[in-house]
Amino acid sequence: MRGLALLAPLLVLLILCFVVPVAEIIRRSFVVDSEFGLEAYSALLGNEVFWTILGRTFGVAIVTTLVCALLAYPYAYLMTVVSPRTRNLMMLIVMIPFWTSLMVRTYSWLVLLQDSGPIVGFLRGIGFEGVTLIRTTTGVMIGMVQILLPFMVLPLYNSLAGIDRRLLGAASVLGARPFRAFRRVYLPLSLPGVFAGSVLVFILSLGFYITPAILGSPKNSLISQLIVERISDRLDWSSGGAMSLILFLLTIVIVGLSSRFVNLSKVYGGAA
Amino acid sequence: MQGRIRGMATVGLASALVLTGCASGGSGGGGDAEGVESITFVSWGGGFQDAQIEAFAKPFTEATGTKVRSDGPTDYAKIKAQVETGNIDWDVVTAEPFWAEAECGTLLESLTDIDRGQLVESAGSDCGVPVSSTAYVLGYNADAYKGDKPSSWADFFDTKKFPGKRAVWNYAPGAALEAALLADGVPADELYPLDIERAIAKLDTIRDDIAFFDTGAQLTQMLESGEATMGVTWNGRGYDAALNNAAITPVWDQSLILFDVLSVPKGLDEKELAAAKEFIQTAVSEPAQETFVDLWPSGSSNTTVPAPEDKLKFAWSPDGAGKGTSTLISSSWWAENYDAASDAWTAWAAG
Repeated sequence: MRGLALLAPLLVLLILCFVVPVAEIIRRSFVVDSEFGLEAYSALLGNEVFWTILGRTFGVAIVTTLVCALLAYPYAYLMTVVSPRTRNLMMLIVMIPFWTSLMVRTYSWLVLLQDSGPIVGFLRGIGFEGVTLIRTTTGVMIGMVQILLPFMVLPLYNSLAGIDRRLLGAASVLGARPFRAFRRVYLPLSLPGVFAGSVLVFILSLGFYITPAILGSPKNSLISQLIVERISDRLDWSSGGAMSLILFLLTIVIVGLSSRFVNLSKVYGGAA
Repeated sequence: MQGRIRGMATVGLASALVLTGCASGGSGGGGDAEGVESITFVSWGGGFQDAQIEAFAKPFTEATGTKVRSDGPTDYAKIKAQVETGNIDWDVVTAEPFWAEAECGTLLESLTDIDRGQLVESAGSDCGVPVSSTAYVLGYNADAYKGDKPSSWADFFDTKKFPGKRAVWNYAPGAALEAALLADGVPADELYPLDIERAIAKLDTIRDDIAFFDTGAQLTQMLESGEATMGVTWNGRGYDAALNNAAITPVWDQSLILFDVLSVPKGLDEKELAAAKEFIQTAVSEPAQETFVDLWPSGSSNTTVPAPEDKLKFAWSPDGAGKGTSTLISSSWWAENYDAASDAWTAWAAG
């Protein structure tokens, strides 16, 4: 009973500010011209642009997640083996951008990535002529990876720090070379952390709005931009709601499927 | 239209509240608006809204004692939500003419009793009182073209003769469709109904040379920085860019024009509605409009207002250098065809 009382403030907040509005958006997706029906959904089925952009959104989210994982893994690993002092410094390097406003970081990328900016200038200097980053999918993903990196590094570090390094010693005593010991012992033990970070980064990527809007162009717009266009410009709330629900369901299905490969309760520290 | 920031703006800019007039000084005026303590005026922000507040709200508050709160940016979804819930926070909103025409009677109040005797006759609609004009011109960077200068929309589409990125608003009613048809040889007086397919086919010929923008600030930045060497340019934003980069030049020939309107969301009580209407009447009056065009290079909806004297404003004003050059964008066509045109636009731009 007392537990419930402690939960109450958060529950009330979640229900009022999250569950109710989301339920309302979903309800509206089934109402077209004040009549109940599935028109909004059947219209989307035949809407090629919607599926193209949805596919693009998932593609960008997958690549962003993979790149984040590849960059974050060695970094998080390094954090587990260095001295506490260096570890704190490395943590700070991750956290400072995390504490900086999303808008500020995105606009900084706008300056860095543009044709007259330092990155393109450098690439030109070493012989890559005619490279464009701004308003390309690559440019959008560079920005997204940097912004989402902390969401990968932090859970990954947590998970890696919990691995008993004596297991590696044991593997080597039993004759495993370092790479084999890593692949057979360390990597499997670290997968829950990789998965936890990946789920966070993947889901956040699916809903990214500001960064693709500022760094991208319509050619690489993501699903959230299409939803905003429906809701804000067209006032077509049933179609915007339908898009949101489809995105939501697909996300749940994908996360659910991938959780079959990793024990979810382990990842989020449930029953061990 | 000048500061229209679309979805993104709600994130950061919606907070500034400007109070004009003194706290309780003007109790003398009265009029219809008596008894309403304040109304909220909404627009697209930036220098455009500042000029509106200075020119419209000040005389209104002096005459009636009713204060004017300034909010924004205009967000049609918020208006819809307010009207549907009956919880109206916005009394007078600056809107695009086709939107006011499309939502007349559903989301917006009829304003046929406003005296429009001095206003441009072809502009506005029952629910939208024309307040100022915005023109879309071919704006180019003169530094980028040393020899021949672009002088028509046909040149805009000639990327061989005039290389460089073209800034285009990622928004179907943003005049790119009209410009494409004019470039393709459609006479200005036969533009409507727009041949959307033909316009998009023409735009597709320069697809790789287009730099799309979502906000007016982006347009200014693209022109100023040289990222784009020409653009379907809003005259106010072109003026902004020209303030910092004198090479930005307008081509008025074949320009397109529309009159932004003031509208009132449906559901205000009688007193608030009277105050909102009085505000609109003040805003389109000769003295308020004169102050407004002095502050901002929009055209006036009031035909008695002279062109601005300032040289740069004159160069970018539809009432100045642009006088008599522009084709009026058909708000009734856009009111009816917005969804279809937007679908085609999104399929082309984002597909």
